[in-house]
Amino acid sequence: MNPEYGSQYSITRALLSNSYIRRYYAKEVSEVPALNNMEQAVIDTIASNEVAKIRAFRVSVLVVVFCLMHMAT
Amino acid sequence: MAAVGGIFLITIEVFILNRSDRQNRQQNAADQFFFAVSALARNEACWQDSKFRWKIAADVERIARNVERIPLGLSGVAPSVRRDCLMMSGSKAQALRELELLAIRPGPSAYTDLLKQLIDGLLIISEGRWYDLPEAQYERQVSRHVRALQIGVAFIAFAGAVILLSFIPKLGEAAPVSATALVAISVAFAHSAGMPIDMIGKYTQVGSDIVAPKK
Repeated sequence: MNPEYGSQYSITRALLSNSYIRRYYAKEVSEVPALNNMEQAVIDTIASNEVAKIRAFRVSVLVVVFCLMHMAT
Repeated sequence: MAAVGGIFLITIEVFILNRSDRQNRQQNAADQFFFAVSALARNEACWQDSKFRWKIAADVERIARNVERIPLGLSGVAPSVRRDCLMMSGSKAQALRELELLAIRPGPSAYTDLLKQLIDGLLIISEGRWYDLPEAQYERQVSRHVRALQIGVAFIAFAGAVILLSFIPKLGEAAPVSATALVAISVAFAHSAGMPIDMIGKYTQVGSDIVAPKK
């Protein structure tokens, strides 16, 4: 049980790895009985959406970093 | 120059991310449903703790806001269709808001009911069928910040009207006309901020007394 009631999802780790995101959702489904009955396809869709969202965020961060480096040189 | 470029870049980034977020509200809602179900199921022992229940209610409100805004991603449809879709999504969001009350004021089977309804919602929305979510009588939600902004604009417009009238000698006939428009704007904002009708009546009376030419 989480003392802060929140999820154990780490956005930092998600930013670094897509497989972390997919593993997180799979682990959550296997550990939470209420989610056990969900179809694998549904979980895969939710995880894929999260991966796509994080990917867009990564690209935007990279664009800003690239432009800042370009301006600095 | 570099700072201007940086600000321009960040503005474009925020615009693109917001646009992408607007298109993905349904997926975001599915994600939030998932996290809410997970938090609720993992912490059943904390259900008696009001702090935990309030956190769940806040999670449900976030889901409701996302569901309410799903049709904002619609583009190229008739305004009437868009309006109907917004009404429909508002009703879905209202049904979710009723679940918040289950968490804040729990009954004997509130935990089971809430968990079941959240799982049902998760299954429906993860299949892309947000239009099949349960509905309730729609109530327009206005946040404190928006209401404070509306009241602020109403008072600024009213003060602007008074200031304009003090420039009658310089501006001539333009001053009372502009002041009338400002009083009308002020009344419209006061009305949308939810000011009672009788108070708006008195407010309009004061406005027209000020704008009316002195005999």
